[in-house]
Amino acid sequence: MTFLAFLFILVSLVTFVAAQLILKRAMEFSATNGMRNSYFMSRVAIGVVLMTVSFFLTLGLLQRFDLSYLYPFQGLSVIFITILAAVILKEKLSARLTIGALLITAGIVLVSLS
Amino acid sequence: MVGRAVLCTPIGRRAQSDAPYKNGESKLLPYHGSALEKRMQNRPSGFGNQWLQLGLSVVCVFASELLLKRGANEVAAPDDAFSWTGVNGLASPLVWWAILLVIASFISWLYVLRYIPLSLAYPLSRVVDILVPLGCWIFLGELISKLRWCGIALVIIGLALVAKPIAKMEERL
Repeated sequence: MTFLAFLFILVSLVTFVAAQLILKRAMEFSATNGMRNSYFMSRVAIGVVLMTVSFFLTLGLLQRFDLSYLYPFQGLSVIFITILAAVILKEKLSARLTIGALLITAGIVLVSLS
Repeated sequence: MVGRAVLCTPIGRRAQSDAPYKNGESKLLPYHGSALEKRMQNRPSGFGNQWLQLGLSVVCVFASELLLKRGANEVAAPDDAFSWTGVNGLASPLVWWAILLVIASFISWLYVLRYIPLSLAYPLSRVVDILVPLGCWIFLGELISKLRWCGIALVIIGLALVAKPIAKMEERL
């Protein structure tokens, strides 16, 4: 794998994780403050832009690598999102949930290795 | 739909929610008294149910992944530097179908995020990691190696760990 491919995979992962966190915060906000406000609209717009970037980078990568090769990196998103949701969004993270997320990540990596 | 469901929630349901449990037992249950549980009591039913929407989102992602891979194969131009952006994929109709499904899954996903914590919803949404290899096995006749079956089993165990407390809470509500 070239440095460029690694960079694109990394950017695709980071933009995806960031989009999820931003969208979650926006939807939490909308539950109490409604959707017709600039905070909600701007956060959803940022989330959509980040997800679009991630989508097209993935599409570019899919032209060069097998889906199964790219899957471990999608697997990593599970553990990143779970941990960052606890740290940034202050969500409750139980031991059970952490172990579950780790097992899912390990499973995804195994699926793509074989 | 959301507003209607909130209005329909019986008043005082929170106070009755411990009723089927012995003294103190409910305190031991995961998510008892949590913000998630309180929000779940106001959850919409029917098509607006957030677990149904999570399922819909997963199904759309599953179908879009397969379509994207086929579409990407159709237009693959590895020698063209511009193709790193993936934009040339738009030449394939399959990619456009996939985009429609991605948008549908995105709308469902936003709805899910309103009700379910991200640290819970996202691991659960990865059930798609079981569906994709199984879909390749069933629909495309691809073989699944022993190692891959082990991986699928690990994902299932992980999902069960994450989902069990939720199932218990749903039973209670």
